[in-house]
Formats: sequence, C-alpha cells, structure tokens
Amino acid sequence: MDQKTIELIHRDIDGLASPEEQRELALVLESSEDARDEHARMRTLCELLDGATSADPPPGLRDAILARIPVASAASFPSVARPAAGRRPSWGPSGRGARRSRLGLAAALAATVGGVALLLFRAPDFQQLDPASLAGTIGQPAPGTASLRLEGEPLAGTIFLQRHTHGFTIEITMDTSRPIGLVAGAAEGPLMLQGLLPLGGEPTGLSEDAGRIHVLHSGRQHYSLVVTPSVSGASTIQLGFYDGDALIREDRLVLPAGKGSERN
Amino acid sequence: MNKDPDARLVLACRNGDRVAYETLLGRYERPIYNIALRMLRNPEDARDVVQIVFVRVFEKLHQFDFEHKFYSWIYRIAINESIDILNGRSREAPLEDEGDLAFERTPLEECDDAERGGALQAAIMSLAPDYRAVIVLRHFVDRSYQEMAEILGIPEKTVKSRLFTARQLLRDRLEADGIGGA
Repeated sequence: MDQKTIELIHRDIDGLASPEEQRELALVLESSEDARDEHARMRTLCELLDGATSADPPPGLRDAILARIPVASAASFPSVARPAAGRRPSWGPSGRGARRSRLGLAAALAATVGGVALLLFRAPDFQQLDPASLAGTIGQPAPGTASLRLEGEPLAGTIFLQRHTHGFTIEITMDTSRPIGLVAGAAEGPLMLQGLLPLGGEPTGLSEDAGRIHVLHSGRQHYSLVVTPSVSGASTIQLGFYDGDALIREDRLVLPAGKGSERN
Repeated sequence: MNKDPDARLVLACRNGDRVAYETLLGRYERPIYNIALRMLRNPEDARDVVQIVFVRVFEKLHQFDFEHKFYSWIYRIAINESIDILNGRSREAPLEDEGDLAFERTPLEECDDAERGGALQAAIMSLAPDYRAVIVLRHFVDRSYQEMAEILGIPEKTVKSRLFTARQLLRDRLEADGIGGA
C-alpha cells in the first residue's frame, strides 16, 4: 500500500479528509482489499482509543497546587526571626523579650540569604516512608496527604502534608491578622528540615538555629518545609504558632523510622 | 491578541487575579492529569506532573506569548515534564523492564473496561515517548495535526508520520494481544 493511501485512511478516520480526498479514498477502497482491511483495522483501533475513559484527578490535587501559589505580593513574604546567638535550641521561641527586639535586624540579615536555606540537624540517610504509619495531629485525618485547616483569629489558612519520594513537604499557607511566629522543629529524633522560598517572592531567610526554622508571618503568606526523616529512628516534627511569646497553637507530626535508605 | 478563549484569563492572572488562575486550573487540571497519566501510567507521577505544570505556568506566566494558544503552551509543558520523568526512569532501569512490574490498577484501568483498558494502556506504554505523545494528544485531548505540531514544536508532516506509525505499532500490539482486531 502506498504512503498516499495510508495518509488518506488516517485523514478519513480523523475526520480531516476533504470531500475530494474522501472520493479518492472511496475509489481506492473499492479496488483494493488490502486498503479496505487497513481502513477497517485502523478505524477499530481509533474507536478503541477514542472510547477510552478519562480519569478523574485525585482529590486534593487542586488544593495542593493552590497551596503552592503565593497569595500575597512579593513585598509581603515573611521575614525571619533569628534566635539569640549561642543559645541551644529547645522547643518554643527562644530569647523571649530580647528576641523581639532582634527581629528587625534578623529579618534584614536573613533577607540577604538567597536561594534555599538549609538547616541540617544531622546528615541522615534518606528513606522511603510509609504514610499509613504516620501519626500526629496532622497525620491522623488522612495519612500521607493530610491537610489541616486553621480557622479564626489571628490565624487562618491551611497546612498541607504532601508525600514525596524522599520524605514530605509541609505546605503552609497562612493569613494572619497580626504578626504570628512559627517555629518548626524536631521534637525528637533525627531529620533534615529544609525551608523553601515562596514562589515568585523575595528570598525568605530562615534562621540558622540548628534543628529549627523560625518564621515571622505577617499577612497572607505561603512557604514550604521539606522534611526528610532518617532511617535510624522515628522523628517528631512540631509546629508551634506564637502570638508574641504566647503559644496559640501546636501541631505534631510523627514520622516513623524508614525501612531502608535511598540516596540520589 | 489572538482569539484564544484563555487569553483573557492569562492576562487577568498576570494582573494578580487569583480567581483567574483558579479558573485556568479548573479548566486544565483534568486534561493535564490525563496526558500525564497516559504518558506515565503511574498516578503519583501524573499527580506530580500536574503540580509541576501549574506551578511552572504560574512562574512563567509573564513570559507567555499571546501569539500562541495557552493550551499549546501548557500541553507542551505537560508533555515535556512527562518525558523528563520517563527519561529519569530509563536512567534508573531499562524501559523494557516496565512491563514486568506488578503495577497496581491505575485510575485509567478502573475507569475503562478492565481488560481492554489495561491492554490499551500497556500497548501505549510500549511505544517510544515521541509516539506516545502524538497518540495522547490526538486521542485523549483531541488535538488536530496542526495543533499537535504547535504543541510539540515539530512540522505537521512529522506529526502525521509519527501518528500513523504509532497507530500501526499500537494496532499490531493490541491485535497480538487479541484486542482491537477488525
């Protein structure tokens, strides 16, 4: 069968053949059994393809995408609270009264940090996680792809936990009526916590306080924390929200020890 | 500006209209997911592709050229991201091993008549990515030859050549599996 006939057959099946091409094809089909056979077989295939059902996107996908899109102008992305120098971190905001006075300087310093800020508690082995074994405030409702909605004054927004090959991303979208501090850190166990910049925003500095990330929210903001637990033991991440020095909300996520290590 | 029905939304997005972005997301979430799922088969990978595509669209919206259609742009990103993932897979393991894996049932196979849907998707996965792309664009998002050429950035003649060859390969594979024979 020549190339012209093959093209005519495909154009006809795709509904793209002109009347003249249709007449031409009809003559070919009338005289050639091979062409008739090819036409019929190709039509059957295309009907099978066109009849295949499309799949629904998974639930929560749209929300997950929207959570990654900043809702504020670049100018309002978060600045950073830097804890007191030399202070060994413990859970909760450090420095107390003195900390507030250092916020502006810390933010200015942190804003000079470009790219992705990285906090490394310990160089861990990477692992594959079983989201079914997650526990904690965030993990309980729907392990692996859980989301948590924050509602009310002064804190509203969503925290979305998303599974990746090497760990999890905690996507945080916040709308605060006044500056709210967030401290994210390891309550126990080794893990790597990585702060990512808001999309399209100015660099968001993150504190270099080993083991924790401090961010001061103001207005509507979005950012991500990439969490990579270790294979050597369970890890607990705590998210604490502070209005000044007062803890107004706390969430915990327990990531189990991995089954095996994997590294790029 | 062209007559692209999405152009107004793209312009609104550029001006910071989040609702416009959500409208585009609602309009294209399903076709992009299905492109990725047909290209990759793996629902988790498809989900990742959708997220990557829409975040990239958001980031690059200011670069969008109104001389082109929005769907051409977003479908091209989806195809390219899917191919990147396929290339990543092939670096990790030979592609021919894919058929030997014990796949869980994908959403596609749950939607389609199980045996035919599974065989069809397996046959699509047996195609090289370039052939797979034209099959997906033609039959699952209903693009014309010319539109496929714009999406893939190749001449229309090449699109036709790839499509016709891909169909013949698919037909041979399916007929060998006892499906799709005339």
